[in-house]
Amino acid sequence: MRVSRRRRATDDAGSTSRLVLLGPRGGDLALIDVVRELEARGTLSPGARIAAITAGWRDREANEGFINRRLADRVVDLELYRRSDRIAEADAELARAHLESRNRLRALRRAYNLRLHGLIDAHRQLTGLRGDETVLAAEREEALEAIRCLDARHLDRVVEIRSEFEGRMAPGERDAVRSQRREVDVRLEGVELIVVEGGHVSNLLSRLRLFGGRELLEGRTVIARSAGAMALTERIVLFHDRPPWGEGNPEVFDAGLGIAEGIVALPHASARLALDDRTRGARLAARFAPASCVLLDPGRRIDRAGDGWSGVDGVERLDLRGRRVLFRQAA
Amino acid sequence: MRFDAGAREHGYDLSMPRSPAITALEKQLVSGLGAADAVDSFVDANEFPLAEPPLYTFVYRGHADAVRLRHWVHGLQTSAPFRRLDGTDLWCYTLELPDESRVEYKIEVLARGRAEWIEDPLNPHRARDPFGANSVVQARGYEIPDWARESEEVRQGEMDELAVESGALESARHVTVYRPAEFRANRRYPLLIVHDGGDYVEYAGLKHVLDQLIDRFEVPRMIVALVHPGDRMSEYSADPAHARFVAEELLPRLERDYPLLPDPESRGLMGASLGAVASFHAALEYPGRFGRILLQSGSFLFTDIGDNESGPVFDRIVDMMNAYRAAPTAIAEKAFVSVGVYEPLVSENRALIHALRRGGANVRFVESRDGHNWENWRDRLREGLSWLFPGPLWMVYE
Repeated sequence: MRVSRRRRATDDAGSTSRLVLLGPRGGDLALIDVVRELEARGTLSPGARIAAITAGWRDREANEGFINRRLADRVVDLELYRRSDRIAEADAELARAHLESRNRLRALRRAYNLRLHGLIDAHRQLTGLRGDETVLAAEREEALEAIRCLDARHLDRVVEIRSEFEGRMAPGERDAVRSQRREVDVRLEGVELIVVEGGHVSNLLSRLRLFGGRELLEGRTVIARSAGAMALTERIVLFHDRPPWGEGNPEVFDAGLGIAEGIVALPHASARLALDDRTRGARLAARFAPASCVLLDPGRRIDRAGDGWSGVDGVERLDLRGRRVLFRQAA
Repeated sequence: MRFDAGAREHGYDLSMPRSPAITALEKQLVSGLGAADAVDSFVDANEFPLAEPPLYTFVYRGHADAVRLRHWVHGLQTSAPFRRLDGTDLWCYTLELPDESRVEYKIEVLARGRAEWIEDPLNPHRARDPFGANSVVQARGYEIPDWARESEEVRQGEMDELAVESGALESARHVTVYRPAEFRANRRYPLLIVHDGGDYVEYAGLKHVLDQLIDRFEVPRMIVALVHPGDRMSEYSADPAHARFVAEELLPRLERDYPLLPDPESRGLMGASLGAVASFHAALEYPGRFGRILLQSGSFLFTDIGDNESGPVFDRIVDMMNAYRAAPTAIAEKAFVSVGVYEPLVSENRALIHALRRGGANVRFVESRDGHNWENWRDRLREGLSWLFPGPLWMVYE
């Protein structure tokens, strides 16, 4: 089965498959509407089989009530979350190594956030400082560059720690993982569309990786919602400007699977970002430029067909001045 | 003018603010319209306390020799006389309240030589506590938080009842343990030990709060041990036996019976009033054991000079706080402290913040326009718990 999956991915390597990123559930856009549209365009066969990845829902994984009932008889859940539990039970050595790696990442994240908050605070104060602009403009630019450097360095370190774990443990070569992957391959037979639902982005991402990452999705049309969309980007940014415990600064969490290029996915943007604060918005956009910070509110959607992205129904992004502008297309 | 003369005789403070609606009613009465009808219409047409922000007018209707507002707002006279509108049985008292204030009160009615404290018959808002119930005035901007309400739409945690044997306290203690919805024995959970746990559930809706905050991903799924006190005044007033019970008996028992995360940052203590003192004291006696502490309106009495005059029950507390203020230590890595600005303990809690910070704790301090009561403590739980134990909200994008 592994061979056939690889062959299919190789066969499709010359063309970029269709990818749809959705905001959270809600709004006017339902999953079934997108599926029907893809069928009408010929991207999907009528009545095509669908695989769902709902690992982000964690213990509520495969809760069919969350998938549109009208699609239920066409959908098979890959149950990656439960499978990862079974893998952990069967392979204690792998589970232990994964926990150690996770603890290292947690310590790294804590240190990164301490440094990040300091740098953002300095940038914020410089932005509000009035004086000789011939001096201050350069200082602000350097303060921003310091944040960008820290973000980049942090991402490198995360990838390094994760790669060390993957290189040392080679999860894909271990019996417990191979056994579960074989079962997933069976479920994927005849599937044309994979829907990656949202939820807990870290849990989702780790399960996607455990089951092959990009390879799991390649060669099929993919619809990814909310955290699912984040997991497919090159760089996952966690954010909430106004969490109940105070103020939050957007932070780089990890590299995603890198399928959705040039995009920073920001689900629930209107609820989680202080979009009326141009200074914050400008800093966010500048930290991750040239990638587009896309505001994926409920009901919003962007599509990639071929090499280009297109926004549907007024989806917006943040520009470098912190303004909301139509997404249209990202290079 | 007739009223003012009479009012002065009864000792009413004429500098108190005047409600425009009451003034209009008085004019109506002076014009000679039927007093009873006018008062009936007034009472029927309004909700009470009558809100004309920033003025709030408390109204009592009935025959009495005197009527007073009884409240516990530190800084105001705790017994404020109502005035009766001439020729009517309508009594009123107007108070200026800052926005977002919340004040619990009773009405004292003096008639036939007897004084009776009653809940305001014209106000449906009540707050319950171990002593009964009080009426509540909610000033502009105050709302009961939606996350504090019971909701059938959120997944419900479950409660276990334990009897925990204690050599330190020489008898068993009743502890109720909250397990979050979708609890799984093969996961590991943070632990919060709550003093006066039964009262927190009964009067501050703690179970509903936990169910809601967990469902919203604002706090993690956690195990919460709700401790029911024995001799509360003694055990919670910096009693070494109680601290030993918490750290050396209860904690190991919980670690044995429940899948708990082992690190101090995943262990917390919480309490209000003397329960805050008990939490503080246990953390102080066992440094490094509890990394999170949530203290609400703690009775952190101290003396800068002279002796404790608050009574012998507070002697141990005063000794503890005086020693701590002289040489503060890190009792927990993170401490959340809240207090109402209308309660007499506000100065003690403000003083505590400086000491905690000098001791090295990361402290968040919140003051609210409320008093020493359970709903004040309830209303601060979201900010406190989510700051001490941030949930996966940061990671969840559904």
